[in-house]
Amino acid sequence: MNSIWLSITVGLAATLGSLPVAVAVAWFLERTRSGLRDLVQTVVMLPLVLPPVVTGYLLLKLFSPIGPVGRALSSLGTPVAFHWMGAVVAAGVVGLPLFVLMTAQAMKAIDPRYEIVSGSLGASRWRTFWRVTLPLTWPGILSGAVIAFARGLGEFGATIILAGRIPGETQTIPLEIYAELDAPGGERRILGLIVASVAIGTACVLASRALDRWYRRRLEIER
Amino acid sequence: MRSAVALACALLAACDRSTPAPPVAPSTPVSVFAAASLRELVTEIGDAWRKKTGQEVRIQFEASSTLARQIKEGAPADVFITAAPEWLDPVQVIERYDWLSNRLVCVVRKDVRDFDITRVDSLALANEQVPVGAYAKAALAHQGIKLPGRTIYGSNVRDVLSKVSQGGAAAGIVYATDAAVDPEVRVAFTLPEESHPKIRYAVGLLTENGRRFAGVLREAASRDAARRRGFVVIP
Repeated sequence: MNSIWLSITVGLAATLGSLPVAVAVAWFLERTRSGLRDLVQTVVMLPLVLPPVVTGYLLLKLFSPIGPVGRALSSLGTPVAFHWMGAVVAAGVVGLPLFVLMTAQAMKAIDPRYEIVSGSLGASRWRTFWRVTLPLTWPGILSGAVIAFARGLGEFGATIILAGRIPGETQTIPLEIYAELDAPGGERRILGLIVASVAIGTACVLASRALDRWYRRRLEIER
Repeated sequence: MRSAVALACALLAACDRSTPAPPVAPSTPVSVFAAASLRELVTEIGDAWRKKTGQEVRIQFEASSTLARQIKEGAPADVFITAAPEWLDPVQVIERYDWLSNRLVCVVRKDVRDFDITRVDSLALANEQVPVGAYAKAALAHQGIKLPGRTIYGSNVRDVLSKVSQGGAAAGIVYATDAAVDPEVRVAFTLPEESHPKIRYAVGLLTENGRRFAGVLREAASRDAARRRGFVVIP
């Protein structure tokens, strides 16, 4: 598989995988008064502020093939470090902070009266979440997903440490560009990858703007 | 400014070979770009140099191919030591000489028993443009060893080494001197010298500021240090 398709599949898998986590964390931060909120927020935001290489190093220590967690995962048939799943985990973890931020922002923007009314009509918190909160948050979740996908697509530092560079398996666009930089004739070969990166990035920005407009229109209609 | 001085020096040297290079102020640091496998050796020589002369040495270790690209793009190096002489070709050197040689080995984690290269599921190699990657590729082809299903590529020889010690690959091809610095790995076998082009570390002098440091590499103390670390000195 070439690195462009590989990047897209890794980015999609990372985004899909982190979606439930992002929604759950955003809900936890916005809709509970738990004393653990500060802690959870800090941990989830860390990959945004840490050097990605540090994130990658910590993930490698966690999933190391010679450590207990890595061994257990390998025996379950889903090794992470130095495998495809490692690229997915790295992309997902670095994309998660942005995903959570945008989802939480969308939840914050919901008029609290809808959820209060839902509760007063006898719906459980769980039902209110599925029938009221989630539908109203979807546009924000989707923009978060687009941004997390774009961030994951560009992931380099954590990926090269956790997943390494295995052509066809973990060699995403940035890793291939890095490897080709000093190869003789490499600059010509990376041209296509550069063009693809710019194209995908542009598409993501446009998609995110379109989602945002849709979201605003929807809010106006509902008010 | 520095390049103007360097140019003046180069012109002077070109006009009259008998004129010794003008002494460089000890306050001007020497910038050395060296192949990743030379980390311990050149650091040791640099430390000794600093103590002896008071001149600061800044050393950067990376794959020779990466360093060559950085120099071509204008990175300020006074001395460039590459693990394959051809990487001196694209950069402009005043002088060059072959310095050391090395051996190519296959390493595995130290706890691995009964190792069989034809049965490994993953192998760590350096990128093909990196000298050790090119030597390894030639050696594997010569020995008729097929690449396993998964090849994990490192950006320099130490990266390859760490992939093996971290458990990312079952085995890896590095220099004998690299295997010696990592207690987590052991040498499974040494590749025959005739299986790959001769490994030659070449020293390139890029500016007059680096002349004295480039010279010290050939002195007896540096050669002894190299031998102690397992390098072969090219006379």
